[in-house]
Amino acid sequence: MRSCSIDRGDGAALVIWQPLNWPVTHTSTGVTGPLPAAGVEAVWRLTNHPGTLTPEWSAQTVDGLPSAEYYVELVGIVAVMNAVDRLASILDLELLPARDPEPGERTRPSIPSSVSSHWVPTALDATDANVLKALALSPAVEAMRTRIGATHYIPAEGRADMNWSRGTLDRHQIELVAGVTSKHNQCFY
Amino acid sequence: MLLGPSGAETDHDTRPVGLTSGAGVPLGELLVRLVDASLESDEILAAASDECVATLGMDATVDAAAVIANFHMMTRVADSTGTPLDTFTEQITSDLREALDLDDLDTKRLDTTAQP
Repeated sequence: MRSCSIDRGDGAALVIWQPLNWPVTHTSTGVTGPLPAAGVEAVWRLTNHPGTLTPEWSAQTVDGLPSAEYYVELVGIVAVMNAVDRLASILDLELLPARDPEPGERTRPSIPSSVSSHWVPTALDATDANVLKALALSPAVEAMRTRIGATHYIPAEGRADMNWSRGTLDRHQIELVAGVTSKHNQCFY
Repeated sequence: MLLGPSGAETDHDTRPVGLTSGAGVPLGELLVRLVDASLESDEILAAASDECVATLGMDATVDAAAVIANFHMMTRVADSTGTPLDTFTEQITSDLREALDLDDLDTKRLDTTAQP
């Protein structure tokens, strides 16, 4: 894992897995600036201790960010990058460099949403499994997550097929690896 | 986790409660060793990876690594957004959750009563 230290401003340093001192464009406001302190804390905790997150922590973090959409986008990016970096690490490949931010206007459409089942707002018309609704506020990030899921796990059209296989691992073996990984992460879902 | 349903159409003696010892899945112990090793030192991971490549082949080892990576991602999505169990899943997994002590996990707080 790549790592660096970030000065939290209170004398403590956070050691995290990816440099975050590059300018970040706040997609909610269009303002370019450093990641807010609550965002740095979220990246660190989500990367290193996902089993410690609480609804209070989530609400407090959202309060320290420009919006709930920002929070959803942030956690989606961290989760996706975790998968990309994990795969590289397991296969002893060089980690992909972080891309520089690109100028431009925000493209995210406004999604009708409400807090109904998750800690975060989810799209009103979402009918998928709960975990597939979780990033609905950020369609671009959800699209990234979907692509990772299709290539690293199973494409959507194969999910219901308990005999689905790419010709390498069988479905049974895939689900074993999924289950053990989730258990290591203490993931109740 | 679809380990149980995925074993229903096979001749394997699937035992989801034996998850950490391979659950009765063919070559399951080897795959569990790879998952375990992915959280250990580079040396331990390299040894497990080499064993997988020798037994399963490179393509299957890459696919196993990809599944591990995917579920590190999904854990973080679920845990950071307070994703509750789906009603159907909650209903059909009560026995399994009890057998695996899943209801004792810290992340059990991610249920529908745990709104901020």
